[in-house]
Amino acid sequence: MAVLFQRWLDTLPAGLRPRGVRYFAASAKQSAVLTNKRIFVLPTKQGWVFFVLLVLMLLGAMNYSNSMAFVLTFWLGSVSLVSLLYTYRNLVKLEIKLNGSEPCFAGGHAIFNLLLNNKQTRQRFDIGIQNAAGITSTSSVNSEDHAQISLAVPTSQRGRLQLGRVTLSSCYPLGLFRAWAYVDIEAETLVYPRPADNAPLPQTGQGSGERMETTEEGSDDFHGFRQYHAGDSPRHIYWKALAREQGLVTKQFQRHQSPEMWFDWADTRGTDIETRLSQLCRWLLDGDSQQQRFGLRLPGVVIAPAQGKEHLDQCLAQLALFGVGE
Amino acid sequence: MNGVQITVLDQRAMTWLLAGLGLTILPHSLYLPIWISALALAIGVWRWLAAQRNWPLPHNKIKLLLTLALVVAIFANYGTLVGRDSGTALLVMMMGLKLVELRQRRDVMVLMFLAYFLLITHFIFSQTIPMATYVMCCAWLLLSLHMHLTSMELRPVRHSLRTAGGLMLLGLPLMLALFVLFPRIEGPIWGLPKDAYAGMTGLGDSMSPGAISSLSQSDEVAFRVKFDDQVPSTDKRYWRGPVLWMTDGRNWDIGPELRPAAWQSPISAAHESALSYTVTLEPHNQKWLFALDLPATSSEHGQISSDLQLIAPKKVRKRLKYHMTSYLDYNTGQLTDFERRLGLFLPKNRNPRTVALGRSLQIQSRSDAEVIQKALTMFRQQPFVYSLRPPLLDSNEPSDQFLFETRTGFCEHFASSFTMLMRAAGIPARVVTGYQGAELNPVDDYYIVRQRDAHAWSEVWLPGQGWVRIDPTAAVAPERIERSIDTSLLSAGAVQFSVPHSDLLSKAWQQVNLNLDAINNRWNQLVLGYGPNQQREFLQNLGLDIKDWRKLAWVFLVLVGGLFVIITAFVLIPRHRQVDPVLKNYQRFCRKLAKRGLLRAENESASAFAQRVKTNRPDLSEKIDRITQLYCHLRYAGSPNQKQLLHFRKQVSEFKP
Repeated sequence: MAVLFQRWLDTLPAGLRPRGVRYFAASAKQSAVLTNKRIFVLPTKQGWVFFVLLVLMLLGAMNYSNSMAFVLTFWLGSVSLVSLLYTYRNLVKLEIKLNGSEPCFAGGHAIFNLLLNNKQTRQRFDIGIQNAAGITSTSSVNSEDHAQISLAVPTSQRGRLQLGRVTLSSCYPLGLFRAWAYVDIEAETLVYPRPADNAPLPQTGQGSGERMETTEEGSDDFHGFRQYHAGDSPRHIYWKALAREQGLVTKQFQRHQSPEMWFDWADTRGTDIETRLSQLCRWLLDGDSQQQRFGLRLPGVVIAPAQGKEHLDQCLAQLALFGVGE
Repeated sequence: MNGVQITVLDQRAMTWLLAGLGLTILPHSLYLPIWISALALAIGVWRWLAAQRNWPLPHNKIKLLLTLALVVAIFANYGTLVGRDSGTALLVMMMGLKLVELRQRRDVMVLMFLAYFLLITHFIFSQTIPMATYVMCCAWLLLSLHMHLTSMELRPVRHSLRTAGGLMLLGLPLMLALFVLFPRIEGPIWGLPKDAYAGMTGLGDSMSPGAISSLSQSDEVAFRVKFDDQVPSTDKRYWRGPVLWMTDGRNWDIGPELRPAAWQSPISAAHESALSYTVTLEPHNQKWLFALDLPATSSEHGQISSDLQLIAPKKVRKRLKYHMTSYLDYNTGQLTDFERRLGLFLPKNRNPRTVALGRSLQIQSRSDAEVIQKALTMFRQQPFVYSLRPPLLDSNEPSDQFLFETRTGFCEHFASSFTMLMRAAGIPARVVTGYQGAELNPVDDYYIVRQRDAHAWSEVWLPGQGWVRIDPTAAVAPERIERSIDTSLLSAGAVQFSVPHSDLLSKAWQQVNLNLDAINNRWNQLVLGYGPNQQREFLQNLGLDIKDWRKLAWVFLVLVGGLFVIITAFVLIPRHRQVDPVLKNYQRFCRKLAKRGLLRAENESASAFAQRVKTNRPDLSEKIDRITQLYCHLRYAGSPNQKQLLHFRKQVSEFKP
């Protein structure tokens, strides 16, 4: 019922939508506060069945002129009316905002974290959030507290992914009524290409793959001694020298620097853009897991070799957005 | 659509559900055949075990067979599927079957709705205060379960019980308003099942030996009477019911319809003997109303027939309240030929010895009065015994057998044979059934007439006097007229009369019973008896005319709507957390300093603030230290007790910078 109503509303041109049926907007910075004019309440299917039942009970009470049957019928009816207020109260003045999102690979689930903030002393129960595709997540919010709800949106294509409009709803307490409100959430995350299943790393050694030795103070092989500086790890102090009264001497080690690699669009095989991006994605991931320094070359994009999570994310983002307009 | 996705009930929820459903159908076990109750119990236990031990649920084929078998069994038991009893049995079985296939939340909801409907069926059987309380508690439990089982997260059942209780409390005023104001119409709207009024007891339209003695074993209330001012003496408390003219020698029956409507009774009565009172009659599924011998007024509730019965237009199926006037001294005047023929009718060739005795009495006596006197003397002097369990009159001449052989009988035996004697003696006579007696309830100052007060007596027509009441039972057992029968002592068969108890315990017990009956009476009058007439009276007292439906609709909407607005406000206005008294007093302390220009910064701790103030006002340092220390202690070191709080408050109050 509610879904039908929502669909019907959506078919209307914006100008014809009843006043009030505009949507709340929220983002990472701005919370949306659900105010009374834009919360809808309608009976659920279960609710309609319950009302038919009440009508039957009322007819029975009238037919038998049975006072206690009237009492029971009216009491259940009153309870259902009060439950409508509870359902509405469960949603009203709730605040929602974006609390970050997590990118994913195509085929995986992109996570949008939404923060529900309850500034009132009443607890909120069974608040459901649903996006346009019908992905649902439920949570309760304690009094004067907040709760995070994560929507895991399944993806199939790389590129930008927007959360768009979500529906906040609740059927608490009896499931006879459903209160809901629409919130447009300004949330975007990236979907990286699906990594290819099997793509061996490209051959290195085209001039840039040689081993470069630096005297960074790594902790791999012993290199020599030097005078102690404040802040040197005690594990690296050459205690025997101290025993020989030669003062504090620190042992120096040298790390083998990994070879620098370039992952190049030109090295990939296949005619399809997506297949080639998939290969690049696999290389990036493998290169990162082997703790290599790598750079990325795409038509029109060059990212200098570096290492670490941030670098990887930057490279993956380039793959996700390759050929995608702004 | 509702996002209800949980498909499996956890075991605890299942236990709660089964317990709630069990309590819901429990009172029906009083009326249902034992096999249905046993089967319902068995299904419940099996379902519980299945949930505990993860047993598989039966196949569709088995369920179909089971359903068919149960429908056939119920039909075989009741001979119908649409009656009150069979309908209830069917509902209970439907619930059992639904339990068998209980898998999903959807099934749970079907069960809940069935349970709500079963709750209301209890009231067709009983509407007493205990039953009403029980059913409302069940409704609370069902609502809690409903809430518990629709929630998406597991919350303690306690939470659901509390919330459902809150819902019911908030709904209570709305329910009361609807109960009083919702337009009532005279039921039934359509036909009721044939057995809808089964189980109502009362006097029937015929009398056979043993009919009244079986009623006499019931303590059930027949009706309650409130006298306007005067109360008749105990020997005058004859409540007139069906008048029986026709007899086949054993059974008595009401006469042909004796002009009930436009007939004017030729009663001439002494007006000082008029008594006014109000009767609240329990439904007995018959047309007659009861009134003190002799009813004088017809009303919308009942018309007086020519044989002076009070007849209602419809069978009394609801508690009925009517106002009556009766004359205790009266003269019914002349007899019509038709009535004389009816009043002298005797079946041919039955009870020859009774007839012979009547004839001989007539010959030996000079007047009708003497005949009556002689007959009563016979009852008094010969060894007649008044008994609740008289020997069976199994011969073809029951009256002969009673008068000359067994001589042991209850009021219907005496009334029946006396009337036959009179007819044989040429005196027009008839049997009148009704109630005799009335017990005072001093709590609310009304009288209770119970089924055990059922009685039968005779009326003879005497020239110049009209119909005169003669009670042959009074000749045999005069104490019957003074006191009612003590049903607790009936087992022996001999009739015992309740004597006023002297010991304290039974007096207290009697008092409790009278109080309970007074409460029941009020419950009946105010709650159960609230129907179209009472609603009209109530609205008229408010100055509203029932015919002005437009205005009534407005009043209804405004009152119910207004109430709903109040409830809405109550539900929606946010509740503020109670301010910590310690903090409140400390803030008072800060305000006092602020007036002197010493403002506490928002992020300044209490001790830092104290330091700063002390440097400015060294004269106050002692007091400031004390208050700050107390504040820190009370606020951060566990919950403060009342004494410490008061001390703190006093310190702040006395602080004058």
